[in-house]
Amino acid sequence: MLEVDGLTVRFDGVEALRELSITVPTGARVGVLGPNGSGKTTLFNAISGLAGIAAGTIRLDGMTISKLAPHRIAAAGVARTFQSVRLFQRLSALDNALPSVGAASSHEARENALAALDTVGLGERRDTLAGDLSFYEQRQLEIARAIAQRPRLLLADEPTAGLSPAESDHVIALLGRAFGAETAILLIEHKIAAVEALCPRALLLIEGHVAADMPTREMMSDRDLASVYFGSRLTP
Amino acid sequence: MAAVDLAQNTLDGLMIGSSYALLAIGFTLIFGVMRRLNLAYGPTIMAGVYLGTAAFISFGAPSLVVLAIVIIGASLVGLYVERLCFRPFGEAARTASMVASFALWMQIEEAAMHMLPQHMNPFPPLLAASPLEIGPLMLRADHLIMLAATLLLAGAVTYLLARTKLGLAIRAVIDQPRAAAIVGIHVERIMMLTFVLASAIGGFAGFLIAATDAQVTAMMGMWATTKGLVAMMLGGLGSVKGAIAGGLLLGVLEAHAQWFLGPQVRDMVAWGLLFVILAFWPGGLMGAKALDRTMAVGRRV
Repeated sequence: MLEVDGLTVRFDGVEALRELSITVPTGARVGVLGPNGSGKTTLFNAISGLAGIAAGTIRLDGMTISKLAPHRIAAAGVARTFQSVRLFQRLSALDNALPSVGAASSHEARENALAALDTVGLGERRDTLAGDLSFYEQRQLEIARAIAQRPRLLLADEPTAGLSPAESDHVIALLGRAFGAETAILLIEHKIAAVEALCPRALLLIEGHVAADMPTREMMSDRDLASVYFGSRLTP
Repeated sequence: MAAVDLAQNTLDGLMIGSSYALLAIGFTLIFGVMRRLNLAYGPTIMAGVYLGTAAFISFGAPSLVVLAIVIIGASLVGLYVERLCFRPFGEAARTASMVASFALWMQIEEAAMHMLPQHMNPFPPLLAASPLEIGPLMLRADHLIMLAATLLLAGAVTYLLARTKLGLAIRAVIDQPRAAAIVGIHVERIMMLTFVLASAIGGFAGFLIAATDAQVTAMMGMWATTKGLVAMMLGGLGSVKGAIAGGLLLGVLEAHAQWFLGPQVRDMVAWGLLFVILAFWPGGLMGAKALDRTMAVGRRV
């Protein structure tokens, strides 16, 4: 279970997150919505240790992770995918999934990595350099890397960005199928269908705090909230 | 006759170049993980060699003991450089790291000259055997050992990078440090280990070089930094294969330049070549892609 309490993050005097508090139970799938600049990625960066925290605490399964270095947070069970894919471009697909913290031995790491590649459908591409994969395959590989970590919490930052509608559907289905009830997923997405397909619950972030936290379907049908999210693009 | 000269120069160049290759491997490893230039790399090696020399002069330590002292000494000094010049500054503060490494260069050189005040110091030679003659060509036995040791060590480094867990972590950090941290790699620790590894390789190279010369001065620091830097730039930033190729190429070119144009022109040719490479292939002969990536990362950070 992820517990974020009173989280505040500042950049150059601007509060990117303001006393943000959320609780995500083990195995839950929660969508994170909000306009650009509302703090979605900053929230992910803060949880994974990439952004300095001004105030507040973050706990995973009761353990405080908010003061840990990124690699320790990963070891505690947090996996991450990035909006702009961050793979090891000059490493093979297999090597990308290998340095996972979820394994006790090198042998287990290799087994984990191979199984993860099979799960995402890249088993036969394991010796291909990540940089030589198609963009869609790179997105899949980033998910495979997260699978191999066997995380307690996955932070998926727009995993369908840049993909076709069909590819997006595959990626969302993959997230739903590859991670079991022991893994909670936080999903940042601009494609509403994707959030609805994976996440029964959604958060709406506005200017660094949680403006709404409710079932996704209700949020979608709430015209005021939807207008905040979609702005002038909303059609009645 | 000219053909024999060409062959002999090429052979001599390959042997000397193998020591440049070792220096370039160390340089390229540090540059790869840090994305910053360590000007104190040569002086780090010289400090290790000086510690070994002190043991040789004071206790008559045998070659193998001197070798161990040189490697351990260079590793410890490398660790000191990493702590002072690289750990405190982020990747964004490249100039600060480089200037700090220049300051440590001066500091290490001063310390070495205090330790052994004589300008020229004796170093245990590798082999006293007479040169091998193969037809019209002559091969120095210690140069052959240097070439063999270089190839072995280059093979070992390649194996370490390609096949071991540490190597995988080093490659991951070179490629994408942020993602490395996210998958649980202790990036700072890997940087430190790489630094120590590179310094140990440099120490090994320094031992071979000092042993073939049978003497050493504190100028070895500057010599190793410049030769290693030129060889790395020739081969390409961040590539072990490039470092080996760059080192061998530099050695061969210098040998020909010395033979045909005289010793004064030797270093000028190396610098001139570096200028041409930087002007037309700024990523080095084998590392253009690596540089593009490094620059792209630089822009993103």
